[in-house]
Amino acid sequence: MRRALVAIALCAAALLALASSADAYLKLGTRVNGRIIGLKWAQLPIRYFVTNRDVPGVSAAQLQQTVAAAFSTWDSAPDVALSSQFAGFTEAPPLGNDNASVIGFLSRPDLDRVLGSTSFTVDTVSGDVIESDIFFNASFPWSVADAGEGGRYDLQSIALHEIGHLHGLGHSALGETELRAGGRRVLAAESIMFPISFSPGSTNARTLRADDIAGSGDIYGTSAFRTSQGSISGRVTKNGAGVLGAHIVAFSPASGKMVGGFTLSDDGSFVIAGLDPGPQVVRAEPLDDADIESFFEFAASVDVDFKPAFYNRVVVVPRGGTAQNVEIKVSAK
Amino acid sequence: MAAAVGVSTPASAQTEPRFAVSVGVLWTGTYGAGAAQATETSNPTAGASPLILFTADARVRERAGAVARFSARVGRRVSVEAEGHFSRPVLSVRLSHDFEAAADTTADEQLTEYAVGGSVLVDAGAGAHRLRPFVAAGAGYLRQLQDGNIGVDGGMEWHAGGGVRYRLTSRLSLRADARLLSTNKSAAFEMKRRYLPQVIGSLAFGL
Repeated sequence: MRRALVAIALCAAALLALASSADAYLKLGTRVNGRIIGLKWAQLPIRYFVTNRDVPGVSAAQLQQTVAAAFSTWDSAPDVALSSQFAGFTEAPPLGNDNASVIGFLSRPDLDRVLGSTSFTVDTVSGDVIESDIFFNASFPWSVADAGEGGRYDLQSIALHEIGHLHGLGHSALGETELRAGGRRVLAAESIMFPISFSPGSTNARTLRADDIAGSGDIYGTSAFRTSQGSISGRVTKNGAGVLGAHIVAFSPASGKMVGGFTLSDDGSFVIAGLDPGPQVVRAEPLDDADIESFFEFAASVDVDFKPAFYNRVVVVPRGGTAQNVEIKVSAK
Repeated sequence: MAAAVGVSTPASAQTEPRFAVSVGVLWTGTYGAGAAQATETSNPTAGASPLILFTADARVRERAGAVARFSARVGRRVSVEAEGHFSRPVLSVRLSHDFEAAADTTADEQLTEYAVGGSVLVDAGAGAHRLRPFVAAGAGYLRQLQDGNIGVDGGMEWHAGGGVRYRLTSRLSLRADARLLSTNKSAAFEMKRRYLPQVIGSLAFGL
């Protein structure tokens, strides 16, 4: 077994890079002999430790309860085989290569736009996760109040996001932002895995959305998930050529669920999995609501010079199968 | 359609065939198939209402189809019949109000629709006239297959209406129906009872 420490996922104001795979929303991965292998926990339940350090507004016990609630939210996703187990409190910091997954606070005033971060030690042959650590930046004000607290970030919301990374999910682009002095502000998001958090005081990100469940199911879905859900594959093209890094959204008007994905190769091909069977409408847009580096390591190659566009047919997703050959034609801005 | 047939005239007394088969064309009216909004949860500092990314407004367009029937006279003024019809309606989804100004688009999907059922007809006029009005009601099973026969919507339908039959010869007659079909299992984004107008013109051959 070979090991590699892979520091990934940050929340708050953007970061993260890495990985891509063929399906849906981004999944984290690591390169092995030039090939990307998706990160995945081979052994369940995921055993994790929680640091016994208090920070203003959050005791170690509250941190443990909050992290357990966030794990439970992911574990409860339908038809997804995920489970977790609290292994105890620890003095160890939430980083490093020590065979233990540790979650806790770390003071990182230098990371003034980062609320949390997830790092991994992976088996670089199989892609299996050996351990994963999450730190929440103690330089920010935190809250575990049920209804949130003005001026303080909701720990459960950020923990839910970081645990999504811990499971192997990358960032979703299902969100809208506006540029303001000092950075981007989120207007709305429909995925816990959107890279920029809601404002302090908000508890709106404590529950999983369809996009998150689809992503989790793509990695850890049971056979029931795979036979009950379907997928869409196709291309995004501009003047006949593939568009790399386009954000695709599949929307089921019947259920109101939205699931996002990306074109991940030069030919503009994409696959969105974990979709409800039945009619879906599909939309493509440029990746312009967060730093591209939040999503891809190949940010320089991503094409954002096109107008958002709908696919001009309704796509009927088969149960347990794939609706293929969807070509969304976009034009330059 | 009934008005175009003309004024009835008495026909010579003759025995009507007990059984008849007929084929014809059917027109079914459009219906709203539901509307939906693709929404995202708003950041509380940006607004309380969900952000609408775009809206989808669906209709199943009016369509023509084919119909076939087998009728049996079971009384002086009463007939029963079995019926099947087939058509290819289009589900049209209007995508608009895009938050990032994507051009409004109509996305279509071809459906395949068929129904089998039965009706009871009661003649409303005297038996010796070429032109006979009737009322009819019945039920059936309506099935709509989505693109590539992937998705299926199907369920009971009820219909009621009336029309006229015009006897051309002792064995041949024209028939026009207008009726309302009711179903709560049609291809749509929201399930509810819908009422679809149907007009049928057919040619019947007595056996």
